[in-house]
Amino acid sequence: MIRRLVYALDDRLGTAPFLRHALRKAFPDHWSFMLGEVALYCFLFILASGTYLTFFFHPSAHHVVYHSNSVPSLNGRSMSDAYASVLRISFETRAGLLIRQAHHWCALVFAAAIVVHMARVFFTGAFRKPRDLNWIVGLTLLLLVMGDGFTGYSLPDDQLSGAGLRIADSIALAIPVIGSWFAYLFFGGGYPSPEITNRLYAIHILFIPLALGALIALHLAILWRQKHTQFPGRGKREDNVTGSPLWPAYTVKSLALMAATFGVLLLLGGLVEINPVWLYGPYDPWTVASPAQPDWYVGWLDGALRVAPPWAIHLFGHTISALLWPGIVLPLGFFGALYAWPFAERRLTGDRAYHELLQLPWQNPLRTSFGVAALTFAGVLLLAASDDIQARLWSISVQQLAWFYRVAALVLPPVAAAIAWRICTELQARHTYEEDHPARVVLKRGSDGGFEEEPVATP
Amino acid sequence: MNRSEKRGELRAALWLGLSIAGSIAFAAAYALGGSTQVQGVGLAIACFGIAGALVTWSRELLPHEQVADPQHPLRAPEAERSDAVSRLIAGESEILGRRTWLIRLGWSALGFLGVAALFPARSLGPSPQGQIGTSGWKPGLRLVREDGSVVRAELLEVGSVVTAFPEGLVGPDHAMNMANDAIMLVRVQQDALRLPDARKDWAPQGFLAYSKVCTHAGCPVALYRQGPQQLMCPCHQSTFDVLDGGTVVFGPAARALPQLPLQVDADGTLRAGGTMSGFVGPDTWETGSA
Repeated sequence: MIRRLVYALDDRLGTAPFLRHALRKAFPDHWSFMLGEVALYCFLFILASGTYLTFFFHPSAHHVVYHSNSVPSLNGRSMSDAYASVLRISFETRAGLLIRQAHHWCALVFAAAIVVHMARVFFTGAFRKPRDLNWIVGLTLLLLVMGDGFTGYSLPDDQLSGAGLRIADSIALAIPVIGSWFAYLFFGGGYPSPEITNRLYAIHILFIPLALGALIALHLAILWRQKHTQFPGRGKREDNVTGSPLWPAYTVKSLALMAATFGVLLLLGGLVEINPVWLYGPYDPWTVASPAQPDWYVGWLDGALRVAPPWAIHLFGHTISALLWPGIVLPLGFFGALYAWPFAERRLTGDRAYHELLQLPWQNPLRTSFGVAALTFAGVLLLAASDDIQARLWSISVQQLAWFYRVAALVLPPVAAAIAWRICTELQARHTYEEDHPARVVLKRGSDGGFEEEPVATP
Repeated sequence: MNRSEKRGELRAALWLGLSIAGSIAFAAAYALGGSTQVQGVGLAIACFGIAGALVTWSRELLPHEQVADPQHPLRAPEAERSDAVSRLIAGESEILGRRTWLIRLGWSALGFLGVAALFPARSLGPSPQGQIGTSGWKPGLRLVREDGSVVRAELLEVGSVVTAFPEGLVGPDHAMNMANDAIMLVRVQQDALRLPDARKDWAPQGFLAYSKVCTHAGCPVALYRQGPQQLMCPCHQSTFDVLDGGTVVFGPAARALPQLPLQVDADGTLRAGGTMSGFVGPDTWETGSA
């Protein structure tokens, strides 16, 4: 059977030599190389669960009256068809709530897996030439996942997501010169336009998933062609890559990871409530849920909106909104810096060589400090996004907290970078010392309590 | 087969059995209308069982072999690279040659096509001109609540607040109006007011009305803090002074909330005494010229 299939394909496409090599392709065994795979399996899961949800969701702002005792407080209420269909998925479709919640959890895990995977790639220098190309593809994938997450989060037309969409509309309005036109064309009119759910739906289930699929294919094709990097170690050189063969060892391992990823997502979807839209209620644009926090991957931008200074500029009868800085300039600058880093590092260090062996974070203080500063900055902003909850929790004023985060967002990143730099250089010094002063003797304590010196065999 | 392999097989078999049990549990829960929790745990166990079996397989039943692939720069020899470049350039000059004017016309045609292709984008939405920053409030319009009922003075005690809209612009057909026109009607002690002189008669009997659309990012300014007499937006905590004409006290908002002058009829009906004092909604390019 297998023989016939391989032969038939080889007759027509000449694939046997490729297959022969592919099955023995080396995959490094280090655990950190599996983070990207978690993201890949999240993509499969989100595609499957999302497809199921499309069979039940109505992307329509059309007003309907909800008649059901599943949520007694909403029985008889007027709401959008979109919101009503999400209630039906949650309460009247068997396994609907499980799949809806697992889908939402998957979005959170997907973005997290990408971020952690990118941190591995960044701090070990895996993005250096020739993999700077795949760094760009990967970063674009992260942006697409964030976009798909936000559009999906906005679809149920509940009180919380409605506020998020209102903020997105306001950021669009803040674009200088063309903001109003852009917002009116994109949203199909002023806020809240009845067109928007439908448009977000097309973006959420068609454009972004297609782009994701294409770029993931490209990401893997580049990876396949360039082969993996590896950590330095015995037998690991710049001109080889070692690890388990794709078939069967790595395939079994990877499939286990896929099953485990699915298991975690289903467990979360079944047991941990997420986005309970029936508690928020249908969206009335003149009311708002409080406290209101977005999903984590948007949280740091929401935090930026909270702590940004109210700097609007009035020029020649026109206004540049204060939202421009945290809403547009900040994300452009942040992601711009990440896109540019491989090229900036090449220029700063003058190192233009190919790199197939990874570095440990302490071996490159400059890069590590920059990465630590960027993560600290985003982390502070993410915390700032829940300052209202923290204020309530600790009984301090939200104003004081906002000032704390304003200062922290500016002060903590350089402090964290300085600490990282110091740790890196200390570790470097220790390694240099140990290389320059290899141990010559081993001190041994005998059973009689005395010490003995034994020379170390030098390799 | 040695003993450790046998143990491995047994362990993998147990995992697979667990997986089958999970699948059956899910199917049963589905068929009987069981809870989301049981369904989720059932499917999760089905997956974890397979994961556990594969891990056992990989650890205990598969040989731990290592392979090494050669790794070398992918760049081609210099001759091939430079030949690729010269072919590209040769082709380019075959097309371009000395027909400069034709090339220019070609680029122009592409440019025109690009601009023409932009035209359908105009259909995506109406023009924002005259729409942005305005509201449905006109002098004399009565204040009504979400359900259309008229707001009367005796309804509000000092220190209370209600969301109001202009008469005739409420209901499911007016969602966009309601989003934009909503006001926070607050009643305060009249002698506590610190309104600028030009607004002295905007707050009869201590009734004040401010746009409910935050000037920062458009969220409803829904929180009324009675002690300090502030309106606060729950999205980003922009805080506005109720007594002082809606000026910004704290937060990321750069502009005061627009105020609506009010009138109270002899029978206690509240009416708009004018239009909104400023640009309604978040800042945009046109705010300054409005």
